[in-house]
Amino acid sequence: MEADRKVDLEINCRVRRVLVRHWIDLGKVSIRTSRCVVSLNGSLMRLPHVAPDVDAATPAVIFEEIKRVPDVRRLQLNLDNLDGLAFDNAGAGGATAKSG
Amino acid sequence: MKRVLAVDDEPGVLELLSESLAVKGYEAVTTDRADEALKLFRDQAFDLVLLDLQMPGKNGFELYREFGSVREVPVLFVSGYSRLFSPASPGFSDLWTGQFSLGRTDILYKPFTLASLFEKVEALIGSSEVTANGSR
Repeated sequence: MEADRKVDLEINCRVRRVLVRHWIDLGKVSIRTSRCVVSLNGSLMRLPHVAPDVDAATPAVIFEEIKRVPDVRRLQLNLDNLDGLAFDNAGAGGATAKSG
Repeated sequence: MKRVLAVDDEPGVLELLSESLAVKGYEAVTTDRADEALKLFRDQAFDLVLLDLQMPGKNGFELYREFGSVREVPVLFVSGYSRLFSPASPGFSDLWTGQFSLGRTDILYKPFTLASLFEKVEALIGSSEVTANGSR
């Protein structure tokens, strides 16, 4: 169990790095990792005065990078500013989206 | 027991942080003064610093850099002002591409839920442990 926790913590840290690379405001999105399943909750927004703001293409790029983080089994999305996005829940590395 | 240094000029916030972290088994040392925070940090070992960005007489980023000159420690910025976390703030871009990109720094906006506080505290302290142990 301790080894699992360490893997989850390292995944969490790497996901945070992905978001930082894209100038995502870490105060507005919550990252949880449990049993190698990553959950993003909140809003995916860039920091103030970072241009351009998150456009239609950026989330998909970010999610792909997160899915490529070692040991990530699945990405669950509960983001309130991504209307219209839909992802397949297709096995390992798949993502599920619930936006509104 | 993991030790947390909480720095904020609002006594109510410090009280909340101290009591809630104690419930989770952390020992919280609190101060509302930047100079005292730096002295505590020099004199004692901490696993995490919770740092308010707007302290009287001291910019939070400036205090953060002073901490970093003593030793590296995970930092959770706790602030009510999201506009401060911006490349427009002096020195922020370097901080973002440095410690933030290493995953050792995070942001929590006031008002915050205890769940989000615990989540970020655990993630920062945990990732620090993983790095220190060199497990992967």
